[in-house]
Amino acid sequence: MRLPFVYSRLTGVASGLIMDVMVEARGLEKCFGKTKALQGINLSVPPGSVLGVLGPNGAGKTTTINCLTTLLKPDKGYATIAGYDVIKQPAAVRSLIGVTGQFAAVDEELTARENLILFGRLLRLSATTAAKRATELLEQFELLEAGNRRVKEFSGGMRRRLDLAASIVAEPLVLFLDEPTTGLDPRSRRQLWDMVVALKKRGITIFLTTQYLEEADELADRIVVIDRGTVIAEGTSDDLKNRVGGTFCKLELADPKDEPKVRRALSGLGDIAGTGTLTLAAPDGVTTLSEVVRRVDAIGITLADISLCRPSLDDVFFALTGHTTGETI
Amino acid sequence: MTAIDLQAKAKQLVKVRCEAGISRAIADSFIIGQRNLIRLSRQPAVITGVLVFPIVFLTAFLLAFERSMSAQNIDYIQYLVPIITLQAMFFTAMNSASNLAGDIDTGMLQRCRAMPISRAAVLGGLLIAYLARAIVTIAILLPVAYLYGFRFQAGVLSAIGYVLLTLFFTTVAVTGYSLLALGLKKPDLVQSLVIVPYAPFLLLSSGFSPAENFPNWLQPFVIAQPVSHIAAALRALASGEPLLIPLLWSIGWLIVLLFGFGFTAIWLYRRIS
Repeated sequence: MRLPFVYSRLTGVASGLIMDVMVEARGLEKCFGKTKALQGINLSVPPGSVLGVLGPNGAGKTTTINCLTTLLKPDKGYATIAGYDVIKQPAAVRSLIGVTGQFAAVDEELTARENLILFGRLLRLSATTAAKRATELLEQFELLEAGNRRVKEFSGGMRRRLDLAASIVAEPLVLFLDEPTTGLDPRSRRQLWDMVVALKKRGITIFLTTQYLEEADELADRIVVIDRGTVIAEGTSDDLKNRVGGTFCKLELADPKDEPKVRRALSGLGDIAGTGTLTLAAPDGVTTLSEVVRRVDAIGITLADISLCRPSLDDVFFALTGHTTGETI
Repeated sequence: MTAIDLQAKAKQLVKVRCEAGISRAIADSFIIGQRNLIRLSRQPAVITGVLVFPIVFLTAFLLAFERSMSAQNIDYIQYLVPIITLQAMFFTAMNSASNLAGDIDTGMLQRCRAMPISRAAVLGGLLIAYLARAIVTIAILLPVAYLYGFRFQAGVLSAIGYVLLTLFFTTVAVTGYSLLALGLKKPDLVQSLVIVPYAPFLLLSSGFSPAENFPNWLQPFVIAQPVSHIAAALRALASGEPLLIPLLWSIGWLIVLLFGFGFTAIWLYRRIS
């Protein structure tokens, strides 16, 4: 991966060889005064995939996006989009990307349709094509009925949808979504997720930042966890969960007084944690579970509930950073 | 899509969406200008700013000072209309700064900066819209001034010159005020500070009253500053007085300021965050 990139830097043009990476960042650093926002970010996104960048407020997610979308010049390091250097060829990079920021950046005074036509025309569509495309997008993003209303009358969810529509008016190769569902109600969030999945199916590479573990889990092929300006973990959602410890078995006793008996019955299966609700590692998954059920049954004790659990990304985050995602640094 | 297809598509997009060049700058500026005009047409406050304020000020100053000025042998309506015109242009530019700060605040500016559009387009679009607004203001103010007795005494060419010089001033004022928006970014802050350039340059000029009427220590500033020269040039154009000296001073000032403001504005636009 390195060699072709060096080649592309030398020749100044993107080479066909490197297209196994659509977005690449190496050693990105950025300071604001004394605050080190980025301290050497490395990441790469294969074409057509979704990268979820997960981290708490202030971890450097937005700064990373701003560097990759040419809004901000990194102090050190380099980054490329489809082989084009974001520092040396910012204009080329801008023609390949769509960006949806943290705050819905659409014109409040204009109608949804006028907004889409505006962005379409700025992206070199003719007036008639832009108008046609606007109708198409309004339909696709379930905004057709509200299309001729001014955006200031829109709900938060509608605004975000319009914002997303605006960033794909002329289809980009890479779409950057900076916390696209922050502050949305569950229904609007689900709606937006469906739309992101639809865009992914069309082959658009997506770079998504989020504070929501659930969101990264749902949408991303690979997840990068960043904290204090560096990447602290990388992998699929499953990889990350395995790092914290694999599957565990959780059993709730109908009567807490049975606990000592249950602990005795399960001895030899590994460490048991908790009171009332007991957990133990289940390396063999369902086999472990059925063994637990068999032994508890044998001593005639009833369980309120028993389940096989995978650690949540919240657990992952806590294990990796020592603090939860909700905390601001 | 295979790697090669993607490569070809990337190359094609980079070519089609190229943002460089003068023609691109003009086309993009007009698209954004059109958007700004739609916005302006929907802001009720604009109507009062454009239509009512200049006429209120013209009437009030005329009522307050006409008599004392005629004691100094000044035909005050001929003297006053140029500075009221410039004042209206100041209001226009002040409003442009508020709207630009609003675009920065909502993230609209960042969206434009991440799009493959000319780096000059946001400022160009601002200029186009506010020049259009300035033309409307002038087209309302001058007929009212005519009713009050104001006349273009040197003919049609001078009247055209009057309008063009006014628009040149507006261009510089909008560019200058955009620095305030790009530098401060917060609409509230911009709103509260737009008065800072306005007050000294408009009020401490020889536009409302000749420089001799100011205290001695203030006269050098009043005489030298650009608004005094431009108001003098506009008066000369309106009343057929000697034009060359005030016009040269005005154009000199405006060119210097335009380049200074313009380059600073684009520099700030490129690095704003």
